[in-house]
Amino acid sequence: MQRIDRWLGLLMIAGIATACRPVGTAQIQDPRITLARVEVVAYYAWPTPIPTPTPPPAGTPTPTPAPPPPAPDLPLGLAYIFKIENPNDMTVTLDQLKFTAQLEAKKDSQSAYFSVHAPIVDEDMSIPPHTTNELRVTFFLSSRIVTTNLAVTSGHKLKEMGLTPGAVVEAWWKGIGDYAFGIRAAEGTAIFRTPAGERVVTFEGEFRK
Amino acid sequence: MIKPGGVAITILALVATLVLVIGCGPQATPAARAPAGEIPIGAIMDTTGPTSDVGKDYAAGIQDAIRWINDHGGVNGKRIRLILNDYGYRVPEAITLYKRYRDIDKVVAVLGWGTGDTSALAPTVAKDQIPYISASYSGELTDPSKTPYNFFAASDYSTNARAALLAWYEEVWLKDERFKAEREAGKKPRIVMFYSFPTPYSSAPIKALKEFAQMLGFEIGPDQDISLTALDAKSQVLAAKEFNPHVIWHGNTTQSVATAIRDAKALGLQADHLVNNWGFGEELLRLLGPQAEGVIGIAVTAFYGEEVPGMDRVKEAAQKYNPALKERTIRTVQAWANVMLLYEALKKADAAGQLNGPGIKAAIESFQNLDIGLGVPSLTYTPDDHRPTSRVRIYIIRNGKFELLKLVDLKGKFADQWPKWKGY
Repeated sequence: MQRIDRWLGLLMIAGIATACRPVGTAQIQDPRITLARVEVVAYYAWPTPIPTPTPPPAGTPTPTPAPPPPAPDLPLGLAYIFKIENPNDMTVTLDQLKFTAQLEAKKDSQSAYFSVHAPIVDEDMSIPPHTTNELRVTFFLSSRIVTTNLAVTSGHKLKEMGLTPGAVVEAWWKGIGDYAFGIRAAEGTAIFRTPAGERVVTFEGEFRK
Repeated sequence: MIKPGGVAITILALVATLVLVIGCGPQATPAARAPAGEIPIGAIMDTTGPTSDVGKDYAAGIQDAIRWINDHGGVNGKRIRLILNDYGYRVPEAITLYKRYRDIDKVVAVLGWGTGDTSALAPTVAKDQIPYISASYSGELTDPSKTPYNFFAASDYSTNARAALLAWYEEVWLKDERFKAEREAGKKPRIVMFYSFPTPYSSAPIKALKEFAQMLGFEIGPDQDISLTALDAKSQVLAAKEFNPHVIWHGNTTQSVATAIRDAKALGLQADHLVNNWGFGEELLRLLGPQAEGVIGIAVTAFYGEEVPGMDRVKEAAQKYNPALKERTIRTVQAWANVMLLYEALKKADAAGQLNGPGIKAAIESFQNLDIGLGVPSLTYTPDDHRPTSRVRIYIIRNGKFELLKLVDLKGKFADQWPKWKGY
């Protein structure tokens, strides 16, 4: 029995040593974030051009023509759905996730991505061990704001491609239903709280039909 | 043979082992942070609108700085809960966000952005007694009799514009060989102002600048309206060319300023260029390349990465919390400056047991020569004057780098005028 007691004592010490060792960062693997898909959650159709009226016969007095309508300001709701995989034996908590939403503009053989939004998610989300959670990030774009945004951040680049901000926005609003262009999550950063402290993970992803 | 008590010892050992294994096993991640002891701060940023060319980096700087504070003990042990949203430079959206912060999030202070929304909200924040620390440095926000809860950690736009013009006048017009003949002939220097008429940020210092230009003896040509989104400014450049100015004031943000300078050079407009602070920075260098040579502008903090006290933490936080953002600029540093002002005020208000709007306001108004590092001149606020400093650094771009042209102290040079210049 003394031998059994000794074994139990050793077992206890081993248990303590295993269980109470500090959880080092080496034990924690970075959670993996992938862009699963992008959905259109709200769509407002781009207005059809107003047909030019037939000119009146010569000599008919005409009223002062109305000024052209301003560029439309249409919302477009998008949702990025991310898969967040926790490969660890312990729960980790998503503290913050942010990224830059980018859409592809094309002209002939040229193609480039342009930033349209920088969503941030601050709500906490716990991810159990060896589990993949899904996170839906929904945001709305305004066609007018995106147009000005393109002009101030990428105007010269668009000009070099032979495009204008207005034409690009119109193509995006008209083509989004068919996913006629690439959609990206760029400059992504997620911050996790883990038993070993904070972990910062970068990510990016592209979605095409 | 089993000794008496042996079973008990064995069971005790097993239980102890189990308890320790379970008790010391991997810890569950803490649940959502408890709100008690948190300090809610709202932020209204432009990361998608017409000033997002500079706003995105500023917003990243705000996030970095707050996270850095939380990771370094918070505000006397209290964490800051930052609620940051984009408003696309739309005033109605900023007002809606502010109401949410006030009524739902119960913030004790707001970090704001543009001149239009900050000015629109100024009466409301005064009524609500919520300190509003903005990236708008508009002179009209510096008179506490009108805007008692508005603050920022930089020289104001009007002070900046006067300082830039003075630096050009003293260092270029009075010294440069190019102008010797005209000086000796008694000619006056001529200036034209390029800015977006309907944009409050761009038009904020114009009255002060014109008044000061007249004081220095300038002839002022016709203002040129250039939008923040301009990709072509040829017609404005041609109109300005008829006046043959020696110097042009650029009051917009970087993309628009770059467009105007490019077109001015392309159309042979021989004039120097003076740029307001949100148009002058690393982005302008990138956009203009060699065409940026000789451009003069205002910097209210050090440029990103410059060797000044406090820059280490800015760089460390940028790399740690926002590693995916590669191109950081002076806008990050400007954001840090405003957050550091708020941080110092929060600490002081908390220590006094007054962690609320009036307490934070009183803390800021007690700061005399506050040194927050980051290349920001020492800051002084009083209950009668919210102009934090009269000292402005004016830079010139030479060989693709920012070089200090002159450090101007307007209060020191124009002591009699300085009190009159408050509030516009």
